[in-house]
Amino acid sequence: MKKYTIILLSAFVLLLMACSKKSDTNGSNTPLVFSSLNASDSTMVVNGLITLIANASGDGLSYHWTASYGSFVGSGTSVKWTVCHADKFVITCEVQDANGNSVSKQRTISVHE
Amino acid sequence: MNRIIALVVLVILLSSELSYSQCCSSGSPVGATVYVGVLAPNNLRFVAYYRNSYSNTYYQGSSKTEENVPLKFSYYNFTGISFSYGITKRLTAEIDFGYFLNKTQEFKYIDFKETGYGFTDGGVGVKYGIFIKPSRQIELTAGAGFRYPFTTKPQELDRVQLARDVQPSTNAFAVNVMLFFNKGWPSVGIRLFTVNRFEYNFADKLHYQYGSMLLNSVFFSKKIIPYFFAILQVRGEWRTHDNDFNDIYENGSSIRPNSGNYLLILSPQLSYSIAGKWNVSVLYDIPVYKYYNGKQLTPKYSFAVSVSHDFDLSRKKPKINIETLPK
Repeated sequence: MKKYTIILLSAFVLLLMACSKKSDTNGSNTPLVFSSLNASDSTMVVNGLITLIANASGDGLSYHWTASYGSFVGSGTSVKWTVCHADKFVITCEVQDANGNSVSKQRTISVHE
Repeated sequence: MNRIIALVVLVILLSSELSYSQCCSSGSPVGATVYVGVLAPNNLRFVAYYRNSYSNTYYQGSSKTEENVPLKFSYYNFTGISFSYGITKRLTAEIDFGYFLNKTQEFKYIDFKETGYGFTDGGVGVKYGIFIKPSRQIELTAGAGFRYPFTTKPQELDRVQLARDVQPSTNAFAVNVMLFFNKGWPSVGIRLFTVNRFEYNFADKLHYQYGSMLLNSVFFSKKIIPYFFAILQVRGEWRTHDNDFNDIYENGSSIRPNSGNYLLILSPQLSYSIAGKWNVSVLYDIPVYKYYNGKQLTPKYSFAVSVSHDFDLSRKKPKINIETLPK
């Protein structure tokens, strides 16, 4: 009987642990702040290279870069971007912290011949 | 012979769909349900293929250009499989999918090379034999199908999206229709057949839409020796502009200028039937006329190898097998 009581108690404790609110895995609570997304220029010639820098603070940040067209060189806080034809392009950077919070910013680059 | 024709057209259609230009490419809407002609009931056809393509020449209109071109070269290695099954004597269903082993582009002015890889879009379709006269070797078949992406999310590396030109999938749906006509003259071992196909692409989640494609092919096939065939194809490919609905021009247009083209391609091919069951085929594309909107990278060479096999899954052998009729 005692054995079953211990098993039941252990199961109850495990259940409580599983249902408890997830704490910050990093033990840190710095809020995510995405202060700016800067480009070395707002215009560029076709096949040129532009530098983009994301300034953000928070815990365990990762940087997600997307554009409807063109190629990114590099990764992380700073990337370079190039494209092969003239147009206006929107570049998006999404910053995500260790807690799953995310903030996005966009920059429009005008590309000319 | 019918199996060889199916394989021939399969490889050539795949080649056409994979010979897309780059920068700005119209992506990689690979394959389609491309078996041509219907199969006998309960017959299963399996085709595996490999394709390689290398591009290093830019075209602007119908002329070569080297002025301010971004890429040094691009290439890909692609493999795929197709299954086709005869449901009734007139109705055949088919599926196909493929995988890019790599899809790479290297830049000219910056020290950078990027590579994508992975599954292309899958294809599902049906074909219906409108008019079939085996005795006169005449067949008119129509087909329709759709293509679907295995993922709608573009491929990334280190959370950085890869360029469209190296994406293995269009990440979007497409629909297509096809018309096939075949006429054979068995006494002289010659066949003529045509394939006409139209594909419409829908926009992806990023609001980018690849252009539509119209493909018209005429094939001439001649038996050289038993089980050995030479085929010559003349193929016209017309692609419309891509549209990017994210970045609208000041004049309100969403058209991507460096997209869309017209190509006229000569494609010689050799096919060999092993023991009347397996078919092996090779082809090489020779563009004879190119016209590209804007400035685009065009293939220097492209070749494909394909193997097919037919399985008769019917319990009872048919009394007359068209495939084994004397040619």
